[in-house]
Amino acid sequence: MMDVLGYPESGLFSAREMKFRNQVRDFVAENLPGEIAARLKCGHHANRGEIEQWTRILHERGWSAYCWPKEFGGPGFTSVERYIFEEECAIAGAPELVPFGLKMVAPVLMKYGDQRQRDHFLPRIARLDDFWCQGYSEPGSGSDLASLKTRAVLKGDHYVVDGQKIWTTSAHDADWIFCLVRTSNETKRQNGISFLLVDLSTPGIEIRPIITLDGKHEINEVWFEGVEVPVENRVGEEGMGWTYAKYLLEHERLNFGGMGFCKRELTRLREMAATSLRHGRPLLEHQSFRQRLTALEAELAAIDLTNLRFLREVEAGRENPLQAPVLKIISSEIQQAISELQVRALGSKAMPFNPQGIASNAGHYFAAENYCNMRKTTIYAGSNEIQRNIAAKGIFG
Amino acid sequence: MNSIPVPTKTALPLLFEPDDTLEMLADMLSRALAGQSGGHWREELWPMLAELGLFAAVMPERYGGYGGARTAALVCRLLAGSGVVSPYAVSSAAIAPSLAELDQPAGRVTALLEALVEGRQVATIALHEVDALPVLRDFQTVLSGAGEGQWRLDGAKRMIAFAQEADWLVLPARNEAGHLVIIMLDRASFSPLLQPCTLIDSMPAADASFSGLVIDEDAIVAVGEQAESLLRGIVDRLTAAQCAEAVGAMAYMINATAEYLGVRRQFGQPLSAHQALRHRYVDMTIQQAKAETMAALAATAVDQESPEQRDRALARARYVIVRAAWFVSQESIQMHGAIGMANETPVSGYFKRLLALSLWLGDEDDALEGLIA
Ligand SMILES: Cc1cc2nc3c(=O)[nH]c(=O)nc-3n(C[C@H](O)[C@H](O)[C@H](O)COP(=O)(O)OP(=O)(O)OC[C@H]3O[C@@H](n4cnc5c(N)ncnc54)[C@H](O)[C@@H]3O)c2cc1C
Repeated sequence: MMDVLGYPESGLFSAREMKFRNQVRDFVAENLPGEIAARLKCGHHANRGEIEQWTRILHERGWSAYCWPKEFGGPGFTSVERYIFEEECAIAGAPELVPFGLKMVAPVLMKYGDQRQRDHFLPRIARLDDFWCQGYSEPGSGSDLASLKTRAVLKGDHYVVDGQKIWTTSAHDADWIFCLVRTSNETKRQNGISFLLVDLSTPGIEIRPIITLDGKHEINEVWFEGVEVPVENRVGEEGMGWTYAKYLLEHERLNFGGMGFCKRELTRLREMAATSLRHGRPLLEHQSFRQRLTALEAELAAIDLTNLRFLREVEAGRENPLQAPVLKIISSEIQQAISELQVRALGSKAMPFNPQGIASNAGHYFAAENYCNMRKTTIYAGSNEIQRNIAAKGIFG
Repeated sequence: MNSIPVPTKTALPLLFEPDDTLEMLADMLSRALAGQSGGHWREELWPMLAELGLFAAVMPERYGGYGGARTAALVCRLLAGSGVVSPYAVSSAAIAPSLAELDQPAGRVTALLEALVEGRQVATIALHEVDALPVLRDFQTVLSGAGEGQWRLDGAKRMIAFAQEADWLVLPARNEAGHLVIIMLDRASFSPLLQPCTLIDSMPAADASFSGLVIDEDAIVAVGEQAESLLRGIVDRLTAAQCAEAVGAMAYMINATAEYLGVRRQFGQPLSAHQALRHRYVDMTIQQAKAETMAALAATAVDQESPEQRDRALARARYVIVRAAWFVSQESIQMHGAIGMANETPVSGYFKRLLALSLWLGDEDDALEGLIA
């Protein structure tokens, strides 16, 4: 199979990595349920059932916690192998695994959690027995996260939590939420924050849906009123939550790539352009569109290979502080650029919105819906403005 | 905050020559729109527009009109700027004044014109077939003879705006000789054929398939050259009206963004204190300024210019305005942060309205190709 971007057969990956790629590709081809792949390749989002099904299949093979080291039950892939794994899964139409457990709370537990927390939570995350979500943002605290106000007061052997989180992705599907909460009012705001693991079935928690502009229910408000959280569900020390959160944010940013997803969407874009007619001719035959498409492909190749280059540098121990913000910025912007060109390619055909029913869904690519949804990529996980601030601070101090 | 220039909500489109009558009209309409409660357009908006005389205003003088496409642009801009999604652009700004230009109009045209001017009825047009862009020639919908003053229609149209709610459907097709014909169908004959859907900006629309639909002679309102100039009139006026709608929606987003940047505080100061955001906000207003100019040019061109001048003005307007619409809508959501993505936040509705308008107006590449050709 030719690479989506037409890379040379050799030179990018070692023979060992190529072998690994083939192994993953064969496994995915044999084991990814066809109905899931078909739905996702039409532009649908994976639902909880589909994510569970795929996680369990990978778990059997020992790959569900593909980004973890061996000592915590992962396969111990190198970072380039992880990149290959994600790419093969995404291109084949597999659902993205829940990042909040695997890539966010798990690394924090590995580094700062106690033995009991690791033994209890990590295997459950790997099997997706627990679906996690991330409770950081609050109505008044977005980019300025350290201003957060949700309070946790220690009373005997538990904390009592009051406050509100917002924009919480998947809270309505989740079993657990990891939260940043204020445990004391220090003069330096960052010092009074702690990191709590909260069971979402605890009394006093209310989850309210927020519908996004694409008409979907993906994010939520999570309200806490007198919620009792056992003290053993605090990670690390009280007041050190900001340090753990920063560690996690860095993890989140280096994980941002999503290049496999971009390649899957590029393939869809080519399909759309091949079927879309302009003045009676397929769009792909129009010079102006070919130019846009070709430019986008060159841009994606540059971003994809930059991603790979950074991974090689990190593997060789040559990290630099610009890699994470640069990667977040370019990956999120290319995702948006692809979704924008999809809408342009379909033109007026992209206009019917979330049509119901099988008949009208056939041949509907959900391009406008996804274009709306993709606006999030430059806002969440540290907005691109904040990333630019971080990068500029790294350069100018 | 005061250092950021905030366009006021009631500002007129920057037509090159200020016009007191139009300014008064704009004032009245803005005030009336502020009092609307957002009910169905037919029940709430239509009686209000009729009372203000805005159905007649866009017509030629003999119908009591004033200002032509400039008036239409003004109304469309203000409607879109208050979030209204209605058939005013297609029915009143585009179809009505174009039908009024017909020499010796058929009986049903005269009756319809009267109903349109009084705001009693609404007409729409089927411009989309299989193509991703509106089709202006080489229609695949075909009208052929079925003997004794009867005709049959075969083909399919897509995304007819407000089809379920319209009283009349203007339908371009090709006859057996390959000439353009414009057919006008009444509600009873087209409504059973509709497959409805809702568009991105919550506009109702429908697809329709015709297979051997029998049509009477008097449904054919123009053939050949006459049909071509009628279609052209409708399409050009619709383009100018949609340009004005885009400018209205952009104005809303820009105002809302300025307001939000002023009230939202992070890091102990308003967002408007960050230079990165101030510059980008100003870039939005620059796009808006150019878009305003081009919408005014488009409206003037529709009524005044030679066909060649008109094509050029409209294509340039489409190019500038569609680019501005993508830019302003994306930047506005970005500067709102997550709250801009919530369906409840008004800017998210305007974001989708601008997306829809960009798609109706067609790709900027297509506008450029038109200019090069
Ligand atoms: C779809 C979606 C899913 C999300 N999921 C989660 C989740 O699961 N859990 C969670 O905790 N949070 C989540 N978030 C929230 C996300 O982390 C925040 O939206 C983000 O941190 C930005 O905060 P804000 O939205 O309050 O914007 P604000 O901080 O109010 O910023 C508004 C605008 O101002 C800009 N800005 C702010 N400060 C500066 C500055 N100093 N310089 C220049 N520009 C600045 C921002 O970049 C942005 O463009 C999600 C958001 C979205 C959209």
